[in-house]
Amino acid sequence: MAKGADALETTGLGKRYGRVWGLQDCTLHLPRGRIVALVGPNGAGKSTLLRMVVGLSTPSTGALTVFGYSPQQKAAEVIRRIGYLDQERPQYGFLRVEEILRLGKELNPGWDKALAHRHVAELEIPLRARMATLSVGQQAQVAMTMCLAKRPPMLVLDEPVAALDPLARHQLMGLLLGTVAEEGTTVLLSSHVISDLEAVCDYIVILRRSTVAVADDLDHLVGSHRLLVGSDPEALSTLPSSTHIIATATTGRQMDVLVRTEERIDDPGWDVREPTLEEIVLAYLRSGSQIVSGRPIERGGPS
Amino acid sequence: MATEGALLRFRLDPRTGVAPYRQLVDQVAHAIRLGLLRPGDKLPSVREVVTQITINPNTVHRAYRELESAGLVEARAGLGTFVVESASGSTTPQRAAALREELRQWARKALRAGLNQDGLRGLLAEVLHDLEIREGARGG
Amino acid sequence: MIWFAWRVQRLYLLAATAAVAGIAIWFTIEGRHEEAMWSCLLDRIHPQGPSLYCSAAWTAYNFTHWNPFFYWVLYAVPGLLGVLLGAPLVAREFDHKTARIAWTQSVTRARWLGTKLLFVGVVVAALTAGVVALAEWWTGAVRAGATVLPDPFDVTGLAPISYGVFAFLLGAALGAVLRRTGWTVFVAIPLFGLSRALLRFAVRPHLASTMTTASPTMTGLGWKQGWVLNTGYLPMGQLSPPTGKTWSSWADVAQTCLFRSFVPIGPNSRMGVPALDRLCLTAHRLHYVIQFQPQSHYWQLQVEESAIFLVVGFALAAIAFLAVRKRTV
Repeated sequence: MAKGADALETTGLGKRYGRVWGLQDCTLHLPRGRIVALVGPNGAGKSTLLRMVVGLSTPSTGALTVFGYSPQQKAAEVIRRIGYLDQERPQYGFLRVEEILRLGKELNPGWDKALAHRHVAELEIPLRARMATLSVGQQAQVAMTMCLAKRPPMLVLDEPVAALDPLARHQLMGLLLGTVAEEGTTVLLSSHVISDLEAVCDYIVILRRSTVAVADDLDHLVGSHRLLVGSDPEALSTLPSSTHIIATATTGRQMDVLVRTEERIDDPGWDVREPTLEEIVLAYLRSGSQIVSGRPIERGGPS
Repeated sequence: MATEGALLRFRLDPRTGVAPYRQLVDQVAHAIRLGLLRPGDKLPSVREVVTQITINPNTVHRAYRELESAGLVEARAGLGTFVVESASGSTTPQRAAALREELRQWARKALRAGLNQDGLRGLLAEVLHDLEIREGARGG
Repeated sequence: MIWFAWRVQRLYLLAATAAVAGIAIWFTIEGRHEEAMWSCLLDRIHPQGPSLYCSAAWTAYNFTHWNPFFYWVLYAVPGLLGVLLGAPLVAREFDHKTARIAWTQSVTRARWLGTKLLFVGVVVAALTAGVVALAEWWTGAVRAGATVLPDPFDVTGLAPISYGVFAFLLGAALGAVLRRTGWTVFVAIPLFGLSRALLRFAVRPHLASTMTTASPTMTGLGWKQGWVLNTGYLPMGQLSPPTGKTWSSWADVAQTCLFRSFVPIGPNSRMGVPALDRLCLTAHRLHYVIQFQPQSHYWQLQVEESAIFLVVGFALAAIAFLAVRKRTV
């Protein structure tokens, strides 16, 4: 493994489908050992990015390395180090659970058969059942078990809990987080549901209209943004010059302004609050061209 | 999914606005104070906690580290995190009940004397601060 | 990886084996019946004379043995087997997107495809070899010695194995490019048929040097073994048509010599078939030429035709590898 390499590093990465860019100008440095959330609306480029990370799709422009290896040149090195869960959840419906697990063992060196069987037993999924007969939640759990038993340094999960009922969602995340707790696995997961992510993730990447709007440490992101509630639009001009407005929302006489700032705001015209992750993400997704100087916010914290 | 030997069940309340790791710290400290956790008891492993309440393992690590630096728990390599033998502030439930009743009576007296809630809190903080300086007692 | 290749294709492989086994059993039952009748037939033309049983057998034989259905089964199986096992090999994984699972484990795409092609390819070769063994036995009695003729050639020797492997690789390559099992089968079968026809009619006659034999008239030749490619009347001294002329260029001229004499159909018969008068032909300076591939060229033709199909097959396999490498699934 390339020593000290980031889990994922992209430079100007882009993918074009005909004349439409699915992803463009994507530059990220994701450190190891983090649980990274990739958020954004449908069509923002989340799946496009994840598929390029695992080598299923070839970039149109730019560079991409996973633990220092390129999925194009060193495909074997990359796929050995990742466990992938596809958004569309394809599966060999005719295979039994035990056969799918055997597939994992046959195709992956260092596969932990005992772990796989333990997970499946804990989840009370019958080994002899065919995949197509399992519920959606159980299928997702088997797919997750396949990834976890490979014991990869990085998990790449595309909407892992979408379409799962609350119990299945809880069990799946529990399964995932339990493994991360023990192994220090890097996790890159995409999701629609932001409220779930705040407790789980420690790094956020916000994709909007096929570009990266934000890529930052969660604590730093929340710490560097403030939600200002006030009623006087004129008060916007009295804010410090280092404050960047991300988005404003007006309801009646109340104005909610999400700003990015590195200094305290003591203006009496504003009620200053710490925003939730959801408020930050929604503000960035709503905002038009109000991104700070047109560049994504890079993280600058401890790695 | 049963967690073996779990002596404490954590609960996260997203509405309080208190940081998750802080809530964990408070819950452990509270349990120790009430005598639900005794010296020598093992705290749930990080893995057990994140399986119960789906949060980032680092949050749990952070909470346990803070508890350790507060002197309430200690980590033993390979075995887990345990409540410390001489964890301060441990008291029996009866003593805690008696202390609460004393405090209630004092608070009622102070409120009747004209202090409002903020003033009451300020007074308490001042006294604790004073005690800390004078007697070097460990903060709780 | 081998277990994986087997398990995913298991249903198809078992179905194919069952089909071939079923054909084998059916042919065996029919074949023994045929063998009995054939030996009867041989008896019949024996100077000792026919037996009563044999005349009935001979009638039955005419209806059943050369029922082309049996022959077509032998003829079609290698190609069908190959295409039907090759088409889903890659196309199905694209159809159902399960390639996304296979390609994100720890095996490279090249190893994944290579193992699948090799494993199922060997099974295809083995099954078609079984069909060839069946065909050899089935046609052996009747076609003894004349296997260079197109019909038995296509079902005996090495060629059918190469057809099967070629059809398989064609199916796999098309599947990798078209990515839909249904469409792949739909395109592969006519393409396979075209390739076979091309080889059989345009290429095979030239794979070994042809032989010719000439005689003054059509009925003077005593040769028996060979695959006739061309016949006709050519000027004396020529063994093939000169440029600008065809094998039938002198047919009209030869026709004028018809009805000049007769050849009786039996030793004591007074019925005859018209024959071309020898002197008439000589006067026109024509002789009758037959261009053919002799039976002795059988194995050379078999090996060369098989080699062509296999080489093209490997080129198709290379296309399959390229398509799989490049594809986003």
